[in-house]
Amino acid sequence: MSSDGAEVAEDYRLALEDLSSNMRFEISNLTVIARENTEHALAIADVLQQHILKAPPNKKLPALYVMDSIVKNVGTPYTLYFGRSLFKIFMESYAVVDHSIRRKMEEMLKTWKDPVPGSMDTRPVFSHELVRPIENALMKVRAASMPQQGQGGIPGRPRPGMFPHRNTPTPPGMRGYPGPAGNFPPQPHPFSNGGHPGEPVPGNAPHPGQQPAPYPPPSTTGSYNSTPVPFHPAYGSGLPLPSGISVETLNSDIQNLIVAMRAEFSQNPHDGGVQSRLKALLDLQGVVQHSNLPPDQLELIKNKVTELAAVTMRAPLARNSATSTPPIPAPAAAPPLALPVYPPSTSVTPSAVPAAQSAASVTLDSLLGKGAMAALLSMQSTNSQNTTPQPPFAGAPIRSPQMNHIEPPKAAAAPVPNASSLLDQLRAAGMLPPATPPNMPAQIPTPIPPPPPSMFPPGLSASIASLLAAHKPDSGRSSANGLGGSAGLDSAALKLQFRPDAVAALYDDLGPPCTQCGRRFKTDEEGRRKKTAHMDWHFKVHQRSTEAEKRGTHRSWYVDQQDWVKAREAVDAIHDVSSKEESAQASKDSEGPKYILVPDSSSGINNVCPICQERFENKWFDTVQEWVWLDTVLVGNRAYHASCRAEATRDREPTPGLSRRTPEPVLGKRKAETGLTSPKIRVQKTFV
Amino acid sequence: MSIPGLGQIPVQAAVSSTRTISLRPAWEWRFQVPPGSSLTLKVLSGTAEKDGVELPLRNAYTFSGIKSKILTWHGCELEIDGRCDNDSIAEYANPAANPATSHVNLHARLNDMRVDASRQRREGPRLLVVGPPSSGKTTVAKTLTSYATRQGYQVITVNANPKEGMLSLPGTLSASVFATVMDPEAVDGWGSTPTSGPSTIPVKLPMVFHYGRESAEDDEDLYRELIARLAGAVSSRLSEDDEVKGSGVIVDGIGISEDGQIGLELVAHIVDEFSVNIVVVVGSPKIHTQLSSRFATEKTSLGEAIQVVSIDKSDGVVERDESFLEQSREAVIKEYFFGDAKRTLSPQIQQVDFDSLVIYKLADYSPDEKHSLVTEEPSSLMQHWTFAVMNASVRDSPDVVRAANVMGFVYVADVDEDRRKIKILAPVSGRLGDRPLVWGKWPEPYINLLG
Repeated sequence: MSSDGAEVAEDYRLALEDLSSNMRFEISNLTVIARENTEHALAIADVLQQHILKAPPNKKLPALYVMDSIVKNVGTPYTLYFGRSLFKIFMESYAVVDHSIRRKMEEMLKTWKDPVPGSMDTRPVFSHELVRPIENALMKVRAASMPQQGQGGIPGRPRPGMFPHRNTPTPPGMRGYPGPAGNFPPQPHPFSNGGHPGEPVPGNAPHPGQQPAPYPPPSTTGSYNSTPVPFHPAYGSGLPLPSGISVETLNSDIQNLIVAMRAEFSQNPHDGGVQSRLKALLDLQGVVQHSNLPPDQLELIKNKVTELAAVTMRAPLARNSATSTPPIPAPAAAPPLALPVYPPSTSVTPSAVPAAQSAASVTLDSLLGKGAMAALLSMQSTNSQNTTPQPPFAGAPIRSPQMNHIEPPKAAAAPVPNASSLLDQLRAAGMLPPATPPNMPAQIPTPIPPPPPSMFPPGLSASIASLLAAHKPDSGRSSANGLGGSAGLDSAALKLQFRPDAVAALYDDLGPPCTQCGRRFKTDEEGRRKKTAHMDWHFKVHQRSTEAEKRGTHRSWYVDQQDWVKAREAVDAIHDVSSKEESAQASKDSEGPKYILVPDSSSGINNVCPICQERFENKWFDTVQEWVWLDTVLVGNRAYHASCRAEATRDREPTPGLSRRTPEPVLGKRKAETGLTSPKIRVQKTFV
Repeated sequence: MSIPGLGQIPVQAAVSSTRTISLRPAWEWRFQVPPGSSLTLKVLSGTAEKDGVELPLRNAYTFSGIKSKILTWHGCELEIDGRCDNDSIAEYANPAANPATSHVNLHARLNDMRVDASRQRREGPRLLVVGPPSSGKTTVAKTLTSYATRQGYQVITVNANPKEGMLSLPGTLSASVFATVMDPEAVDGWGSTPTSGPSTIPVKLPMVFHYGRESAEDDEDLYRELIARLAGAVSSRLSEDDEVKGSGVIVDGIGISEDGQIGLELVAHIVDEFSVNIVVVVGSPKIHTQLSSRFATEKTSLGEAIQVVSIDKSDGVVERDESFLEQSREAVIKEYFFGDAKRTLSPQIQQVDFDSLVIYKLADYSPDEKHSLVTEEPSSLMQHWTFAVMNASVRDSPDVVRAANVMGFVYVADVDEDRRKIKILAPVSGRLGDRPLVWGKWPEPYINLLG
């Protein structure tokens, strides 16, 4: 047909732009074109991807259906190409479309986990490790949006869970496309919030019957859990369909994970990541078994466990998929590393501090809804101790796994600023007992407006949008801001909670300490630069100390108020020699006083002006933060008073500019000294 | 001690050999080193901090004449060499049981405010620490200051308690920006001021006012005036220095008794002058209640509510008796002129005529007295006193002089009334020029610096 890839791509793009409905014919047509041009598959996939991302919300679904149709009917290599950025394609679209389309997208997502119907191939459309991050993200989004929904009494958004896990999916490409409202009318969910508006929720005992109301229907997790996972024979099967989270099932889930992790551990006994994940799981199990957690926390833990399962299974799955999709760069079974950070949250805040724990746990969702991405990106940029896991696929799908990794430490570390509002909402929705310390009134007067990203409008799309929101430069700070969290300036809260994160902020978060003075430096670029300057400073101080001992030192006068107000602490600049010399040079060039830095005695520079036989005076020069000789110039290795020298050389070296600048050389020197009364310079020492 | 969850295990009394102490997280090692003897401490592993200042591993620290503690958040091993009068390990069942936890939490909250303030280019939190005498106020202020510097903030710390100097001699009120690591070995517990030579720990630049009495209530008018001057300078710095602005102010306040009305009024004055929006009461629920009701309806000049929080006094706080305090003051004065073990200073002795000096004396307090300063002819009574050298001119009126900044101090070594000569020890050589000297009422001389 066509030989030129660019031309094909362009044609395809135009065809896509005309696509505005779910017309079966058009989609089939586009699928056929894609099949017939597999040699340009990359270009076509690219065009389609771009189209999906750029298309207005009402045109996204048809375009997604084209992609769906292509991967189901053509398969490789398109599956690979789309797989790379499946998360991005899906989530970014999901974020901007309305509820009915979202539902369709969720449907479609579900079919991706199964083999193409009628096909001989038993592999799913997209491998699980591509689909699962999306599912996790959707779950987060749902959970994050729950409080608002509960509060506002908005009928629950239809969820995939309302459709039982089907063994016979209806792939849009094969059996005709579902019309906007035809095949799947938005039936009210039996467990939507509207159905149980006033149902009381018990405070802390896990209660199976309660969960479905405020939380995503368990069938979601149920169907989710029942996805084929190699190490999970019992997983999901023990879940009664409408059940909430029972400690027993959770326990057995964790137990399964532990078994799986042990297996992995036995394979890679030296893998620290596996080891610490195993430890984390054991801790988690302990917490679940021994503390009486309220249902919402169980739900959260449940979600965590599910994610952990996803992460744990990723490596083996990746290995499987490597065989099925050869061209993919070897998915080196890189163990996600951030999980080790989870233990603190479980082990340090055991049942002893239930309030703190609930606050921390609740923010898991809010975090995922908003700060996680930023935190993740800032973590990446600062290159901190959590090495981000190597993505098995170079593309968007990594995002979600990483989010999972980052989330536990974040959640443990930082009840985010909006945690309190979230808590309030939860409480308003009857989901949380008023268990947290009564510090809210104390907090309100403190003006701590949440940072922009934490504005958490009660819309689902907003939370997704922020989930996908581009990382802002100050997000690092905003996450630091989370340190305070819901603990207001309340005496009781200050006393009762021990927050490891607050201690970590003073220690490990700051990087390793200087061995000489204990000042800590981060390991990023800026931190290294500061540390180098700092070590130079230590070196210089040592060098000068010996010298200072010889000549004797004395206490300086205190500064007066004017100088003090004008003074600036220069933590690093003091140590930065080059900038000092530059500024010295600059002020030499300008109208400022002429001076040189006080030379080392070993340098052999004279300390008496050869012309007037007066001793050079050491002065402290604030602007360069150094001891200087004012009105002094260095000629070769000899120092002169600038004014003396100007006078002496005026006749021999007619430099009009210089002589004009110092018409009365001797007085000029005096002038420089009277300049000392200016606030910038003050006499500190006179050598006698 | 009968506080639950706490066991006081006396380790060993008065031993001098090297020994190792292991602490678990949130435990403290409390020790007292008498003046004159010294103790060397090294952190072998883990992390340790003294009043919020982190002690890096394997660095030898020498302490003398202090009663202090080493706290660890992660557990540590300490190597101790030297004699201490009394030392003990304070064990806590969990970190929350240690009152130091509330310091960290308070700091975390302050940091949140600093982050917000920096972002909005507003003033950071202004905090005042008050409490009964010997409740650990200065330790709290010091710890919070150090925590802030460790996280890169540049707070202004103000000493409003004349009883102990901060970066200066007792009897003064001072303020300084703390931007660099603090010196755990500093004689006054805070750090040291610029000298003509380098310093291994970055020096701090204080602004000092001379009060010359022990208690804020001894001369309320002067105290209020100096606090107002100090606050004026601090707010100028806050408004001009962006780094400092967002970091805020920490005021180490005066000791107040639970029933003294005057103390409370002075606290209100400090709150007012510094626009304090957080008052931390250490170890007195009663004062907390009093101040809470006092400030319940008041707002700072910036329109914020004034929060009063109470934190517990550490059970490790020990009374420092008068002779111990006297020796501490003496050590601080010595350090001012002669430096410390790390850095020897060479002050200058000079002999000057009576007539070349203008010496003011703090007048005794009386309601009808017009000036609080009166000129005083040199006399042998002045021997061994330290005078403040004021940053003013002899031609200035006494009112100007008394509220001027302090340039430094001179020590009167000898007064020869017959020959009208006075021998003084000055930190810096050269004539004092027309700087007036002020003779305070306190601290009284206990020592002959040159003897």
